[in-house]
Amino acid sequence: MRSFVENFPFFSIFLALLAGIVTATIRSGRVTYWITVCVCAAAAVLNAAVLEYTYLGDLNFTYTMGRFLAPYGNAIKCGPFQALLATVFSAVMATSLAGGRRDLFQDVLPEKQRLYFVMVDMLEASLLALTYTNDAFTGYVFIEISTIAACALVMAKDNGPNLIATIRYLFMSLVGSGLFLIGLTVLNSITGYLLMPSLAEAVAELRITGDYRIPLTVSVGLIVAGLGVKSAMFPFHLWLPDAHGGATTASSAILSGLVLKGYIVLLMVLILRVFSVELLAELGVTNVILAFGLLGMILGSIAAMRENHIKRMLAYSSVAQVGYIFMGVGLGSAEGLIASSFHILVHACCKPLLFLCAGRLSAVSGHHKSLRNLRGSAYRDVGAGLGFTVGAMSMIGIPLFGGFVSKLYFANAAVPTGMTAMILLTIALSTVLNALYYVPALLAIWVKPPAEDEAAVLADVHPEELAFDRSFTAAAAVLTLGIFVLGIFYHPITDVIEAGVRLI
Amino acid sequence: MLSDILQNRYAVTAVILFGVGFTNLMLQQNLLRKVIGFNIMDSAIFLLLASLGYIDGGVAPIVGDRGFDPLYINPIPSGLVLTGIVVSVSITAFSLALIQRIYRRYGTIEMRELLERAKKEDD
Amino acid sequence: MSKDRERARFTRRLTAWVDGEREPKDQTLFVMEQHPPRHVRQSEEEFQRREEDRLRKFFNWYPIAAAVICAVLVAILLTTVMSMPGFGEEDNPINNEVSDRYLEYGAEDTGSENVVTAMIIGYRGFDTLGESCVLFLAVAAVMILLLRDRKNTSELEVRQIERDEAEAMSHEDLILKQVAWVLIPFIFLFAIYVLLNGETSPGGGFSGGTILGAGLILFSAAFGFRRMQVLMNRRRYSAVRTFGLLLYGVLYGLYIFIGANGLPNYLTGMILLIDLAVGLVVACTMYGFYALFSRGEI
Repeated sequence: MRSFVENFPFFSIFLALLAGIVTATIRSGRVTYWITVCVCAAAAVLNAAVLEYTYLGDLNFTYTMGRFLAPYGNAIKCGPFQALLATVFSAVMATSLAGGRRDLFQDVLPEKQRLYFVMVDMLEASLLALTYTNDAFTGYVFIEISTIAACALVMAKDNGPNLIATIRYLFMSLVGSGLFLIGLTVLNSITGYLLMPSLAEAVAELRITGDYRIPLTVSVGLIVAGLGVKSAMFPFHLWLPDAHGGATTASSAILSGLVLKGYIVLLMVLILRVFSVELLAELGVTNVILAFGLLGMILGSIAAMRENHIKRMLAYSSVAQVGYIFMGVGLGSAEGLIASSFHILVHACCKPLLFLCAGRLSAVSGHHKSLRNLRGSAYRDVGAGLGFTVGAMSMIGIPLFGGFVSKLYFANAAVPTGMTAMILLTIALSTVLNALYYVPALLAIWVKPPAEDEAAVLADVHPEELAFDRSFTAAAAVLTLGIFVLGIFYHPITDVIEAGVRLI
Repeated sequence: MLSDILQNRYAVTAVILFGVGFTNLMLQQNLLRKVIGFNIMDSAIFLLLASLGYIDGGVAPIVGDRGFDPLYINPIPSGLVLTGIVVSVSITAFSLALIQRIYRRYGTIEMRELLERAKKEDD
Repeated sequence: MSKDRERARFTRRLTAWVDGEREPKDQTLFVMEQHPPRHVRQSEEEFQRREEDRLRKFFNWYPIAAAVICAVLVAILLTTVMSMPGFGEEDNPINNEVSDRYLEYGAEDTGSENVVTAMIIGYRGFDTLGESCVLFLAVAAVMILLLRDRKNTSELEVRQIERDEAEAMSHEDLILKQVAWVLIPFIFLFAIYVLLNGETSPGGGFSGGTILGAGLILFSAAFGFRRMQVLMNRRRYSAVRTFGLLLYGVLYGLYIFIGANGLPNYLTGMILLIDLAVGLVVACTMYGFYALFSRGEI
């Protein structure tokens, strides 16, 4: 008889799924909003309980989805790593929705709001399932769920450029899932399994005997490339700025902060649990990931510097941050993966905060999005200005903020490799570039423009927009707190991640 | 070489079809052709999967009281293909709906024109 | 006084710098010709020109890069396929203890003689639940896009659609109607047969549901949308669809809970019920696509 807590991951996945199904029948947008927020919060609480259970007990457990043990039936596997990520993802999902609430109800037509929340619920379920799954094919099914739901979140605003951004996003995602599926097929044909533990055994055996060397290499490459395309790894990032920059505030926050990470988490679990880091290094895959990661860090930032549109600037900055995460994966060591996991958490707090604040700042400036028109907007909603400042500081990597700690860990992880100097220099350069576009943005929102310019902008503002936005301020406060916790009390968190990577 | 190709003829066909679909998905400027490319690509993967499960002389895996014990083909790839088909149908419907809306909005489904128009409209 | 002015000037220069505007150069000190300083943030027109330029460049190099990627991918895959296990051989790695177990004990474990059904609903049912959710989501996404609202359909278009419909009602296609009268009962019968026999023969929820959906589409096409609404209006449609998936979700959730906690299993007839639920979801999906694409209304 297993302990009752072990049911919680399964409960949280099913809660989100069933909420998604039920939400489709409810007319009122407000009710569905509350259901969704409550479900995400409940999932966060359930997963926090799992985190406590697994971390304090220093254990992981496999939960069979049905009566049949692996390798016969589906299963999920939980350890501190998965529980921590699931907790943070669910909590950030709830806060993003709360923070983007006002924009959301304006941008989405009343009769379509419930469908929007169906998508959010299903996205929550698929994120949890991607984090917890112990079966590669379940991973594929939930990748597709999150693809459809994410595309629907982008197009929910429903204007022309949004539709085009959505179709570009969809086609790029299809390329990614096609590559992933064919990689999985090849892997299945040479191992005969889909459950990760059995796959790992078969792969280890193939590695020793040297049979099917080419198919193994190619399938690893295809799976990495497929998931890389989906998570906007550097050369495949062209769809991202339009999709994330044009969507409604809550969608941008969820997509940039969470959805990209879901695929990366699946990739990390596959690397650690199935292929093993050593095999990847042996096949040379890690070096390729490292190179793309480093390029993404630099070129993403350069592209962000050229943007005037604040949300597109943030979206390009996501490309750079995904570059950081892939760089950590590409270091080919447990330390690199720990640094990447920590960065996933930091970015999952920072980027939603930045997007929410940017959305709020543009709402108090008549929904203009170019930096020129946002001048002085921080004084119209000080909370949003402060939130944006905190997020930007963390992105640049100022001590006491979360981003600093993850850069520290990345630098630490880079030391034992043979390319220390290059990696450290790239991190330094990327930091400078980050500062070069975040500092002007900060100055833009905090420096008052000449009176006549301000009057021109204010003429576009609906007076209701200037009213205090309670749910936004609460959400921004929660995320700000998260950044400070990650930046100051990082030791317990990295301990959890370390234990999680060990127990994965 | 030739015997290798003959040995793996289904897989080779599937891979070539995958290439055709993939190229169409990447290179075509017309959105509908892109969707068709995606469908070819997915069908190719299903062909590959289905060919993996076949065993020479095997019959469909419906076990019943037949009085003898025949050789069955592997049921796992068939199940995976079923899942894949459903996913592919859903995504096709979704992308077609998107294309319909884009066509109604802009009157064209050429990617290049659309991108130019969208850039102009943006903010 | 001068301090205030100093500060005002500083602020103005700062805002100008933030905006990427250039200060008018003081020409008194430097007489020699100056290059205009290049700023990272360009002015609006410059930015737009750059964007267009970038777009053009993008369309110049993109086909080349994509073609190279495609060629390389095909070459790699062909090499891979050459060294993959041979076609149709019995001792391939994929034919291992998992498929043996499915074939040997599938009927006993799940109560379904059709091993593919046993696998997708019994052994790997969680995947299939995800798959049904994909269908559900696809309909929801198409609804967001195509369900009539003020953004995607103008008054004029609505009237146009209604006129077309009235016209279609008055000029009904006799052949289509008569054939449909004969065919539809058989289609529904066959659909139900396939739905209920998923355990013992090829078929089950997905195929049966598709046939059922095809029958609904034929009915709607032959007898017009108005009559279809008597059979299935939007509320009934959404109720059936939700009921199907909810039934599947709850049943399978219970099944997982029982299985994972080692409780006694009372859900022996589960496969049949799940097949029915899947059938409902699939039929609704198919009909939903048809209705939404053809008229933006269910």
